[in-house]
Amino acid sequence: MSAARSGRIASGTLLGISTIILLLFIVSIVLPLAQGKVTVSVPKSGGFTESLTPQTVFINGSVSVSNLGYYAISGLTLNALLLSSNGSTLFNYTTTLPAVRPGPPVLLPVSIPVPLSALYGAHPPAQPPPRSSVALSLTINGSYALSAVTFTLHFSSIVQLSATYGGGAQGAA
Amino acid sequence: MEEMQPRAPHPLHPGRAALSGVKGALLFLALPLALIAIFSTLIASQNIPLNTSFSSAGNDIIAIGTSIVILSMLSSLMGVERMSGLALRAARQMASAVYAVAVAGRGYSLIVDGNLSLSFSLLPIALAMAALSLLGIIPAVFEHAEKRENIH
Repeated sequence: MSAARSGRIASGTLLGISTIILLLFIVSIVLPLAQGKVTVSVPKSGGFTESLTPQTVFINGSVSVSNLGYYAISGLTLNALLLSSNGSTLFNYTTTLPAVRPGPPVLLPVSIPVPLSALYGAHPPAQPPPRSSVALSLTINGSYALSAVTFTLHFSSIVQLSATYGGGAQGAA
Repeated sequence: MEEMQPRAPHPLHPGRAALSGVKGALLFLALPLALIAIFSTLIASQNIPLNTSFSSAGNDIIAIGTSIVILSMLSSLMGVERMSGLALRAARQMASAVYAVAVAGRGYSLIVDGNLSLSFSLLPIALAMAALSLLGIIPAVFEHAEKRENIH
């Protein structure tokens, strides 16, 4: 057998095997995604609660992750922006979330600590307005299947903050 | 004294070219356009506004896919034993690599509702597909060498 023929057979075989492996990998990714078995969702409007400490208001919610596929969802980061009514950024917060391996759906709790000074300036008033609303913009970045698929989920909502100062005070969404 | 006879040109391969054209049209035009159409219909049926990324992907499929079909037919017509046929095959593989990155590697986004949007990209997969397309030149080079050996 000539060297050229051997080379053609060897390179063709390697290329064929590599192509089949890649195609199987793509099918194993796309099939669960198309069937809606891999989803990341964020709380809808009204899905947040608040808790208050003397200096900080916590906006609490959870990210729902369903992973019935074959690979882990990893590299999850959550970025929260609080925007004033004129669109200026009051507070910017980023946190990482744990990877989610294939299995039953999980809820990843999220607590966004917003200093009161970010809402009311360096010298907060003695009593905050009875109800103040801020726009909450959430962005979740992540990847799936060894980073073969990257995704960005963007969600915005109006959050009504109602709180009174002082330890033990309460808030409601 | 024996007279030098001009070597007869290698025959062209119209049958192979036609088959290659049909295969290319199915693989690079019909199938991807059908997938885009099915995906768009599924999204529209859920009252999700469609982002233009899908229709622009369709334009890329038609533009680059058509060039792949033409290059594929021409390279098959010439036959890989000709240097020009091999060059056309290489051009087709390069066009396939561009196609993979342009169609599979682009970012798609969905506006699920007024407050929620989802963007995704399969760029690493597209790069792997592009690399495999470029590596497809290697067997063609060996095939060219093998056929030249057989001719001589």
